[in-house]
Amino acid sequence: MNTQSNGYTVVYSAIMVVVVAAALTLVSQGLKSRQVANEENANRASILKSAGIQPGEDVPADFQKYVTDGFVVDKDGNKSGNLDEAFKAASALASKTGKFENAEKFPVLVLNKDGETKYIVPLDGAGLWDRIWGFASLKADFNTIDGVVFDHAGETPGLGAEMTNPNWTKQFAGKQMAENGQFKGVKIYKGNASSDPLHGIDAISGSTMTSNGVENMVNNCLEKYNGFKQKLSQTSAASAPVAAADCCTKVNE
Amino acid sequence: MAQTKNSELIKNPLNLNNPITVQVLGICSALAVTVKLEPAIVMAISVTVVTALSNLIISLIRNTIPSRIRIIVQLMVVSFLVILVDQVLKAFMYELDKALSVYIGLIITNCIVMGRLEAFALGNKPLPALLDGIGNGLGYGLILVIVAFVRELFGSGQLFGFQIIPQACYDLGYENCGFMLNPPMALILIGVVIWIQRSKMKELQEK
Repeated sequence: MNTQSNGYTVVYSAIMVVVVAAALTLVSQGLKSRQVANEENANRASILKSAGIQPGEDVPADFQKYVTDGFVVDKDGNKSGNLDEAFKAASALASKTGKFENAEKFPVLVLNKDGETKYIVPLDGAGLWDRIWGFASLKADFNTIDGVVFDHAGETPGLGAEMTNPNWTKQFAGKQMAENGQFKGVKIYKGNASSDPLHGIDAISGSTMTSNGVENMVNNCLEKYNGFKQKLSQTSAASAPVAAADCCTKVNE
Repeated sequence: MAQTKNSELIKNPLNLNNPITVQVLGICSALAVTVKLEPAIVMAISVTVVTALSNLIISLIRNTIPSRIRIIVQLMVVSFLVILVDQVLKAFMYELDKALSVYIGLIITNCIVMGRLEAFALGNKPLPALLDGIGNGLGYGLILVIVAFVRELFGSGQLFGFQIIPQACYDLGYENCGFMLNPPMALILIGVVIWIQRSKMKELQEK
């Protein structure tokens, strides 16, 4: 057979493509459940890390121990769903399969660390080259950031990729989302971030675009929870007279 | 072509015809994944699997490949195997796959793989081609492991993540060499390996 003819070449490449594509599809389908499980576990570990908990060997067990509740909220703050649903939605957002912009329900995970309640929400945005994502842990007031964990798909190593560095992300702890009832979020500064102690974050040197991407991601995502936050503050004001009394005594002082 | 003995097909690339130190192929990944031993070994195994199987497959179908599209066919076989390796790592060694990140995908462009297909697999029977692939993968892996061993031991005082250099040394003022963890040090170490190999082997010295 003439292996140099045009017809042979075309048929040969067509068969080759089909065989390779079929084989890869089979492999991908066969391994999918394991890969998804791995990714979900990585997300569980990130969720724990955002709340300052270093997960041990058995991540799912630690996750079960600390994360007590979960639900999804709509933009008005109405709760629905359960922990399982909330985790699946949060994990999908962190694993590229979901998109925050198009979402109508936003997952919230409730975590309990040494008796302190924390709310974990997923983050999703765009860096300089590719997607960036992460988890933010908020204190019980749903206003103060407790900690964040970020990850990225393709930021520049040594520059934008430093967004995952704990020495940088620790700046987010203690930042306030709203001021006088208005959403303000975090703000990236090129130097002198300390002039704005409640919102200011020092940018990563040499990574203006990535730093801005992080700012937009945190603010856009957390703003979606405004409705839930309002509902939360109403119910906690009504059901927690102790806290209300605390605030009054402070005023009296 | 003179028939090379099968045993030499495995032995030569480890030594006299090492892909990194003699053929100077596949340097880029050798610089990037040698900070720690564990990813270096996984990378070495991955490359060995890819070179061995791609050599075997190409050699099996070598008489059917239309010569005008042979590079494309080679590339396709290599990409297929690399995606396969990546998928398996993602399923079974998730953390390591993350650590190796893009470098698994970049095995496709590793010059060793294409170089061996073009130079050997297209003109030889399946068994010698398979052995040649294994040999070259191991030769590459050997250098990776040597470099990673030195870098992890002196850069972080550990091997496979376990502390090797005792705390007592640090108390006496010993410090880890941070420079070891930077890519330039890998280049220097590979240079040192080449230097030692050349001074030992008369065959490699230019007149």
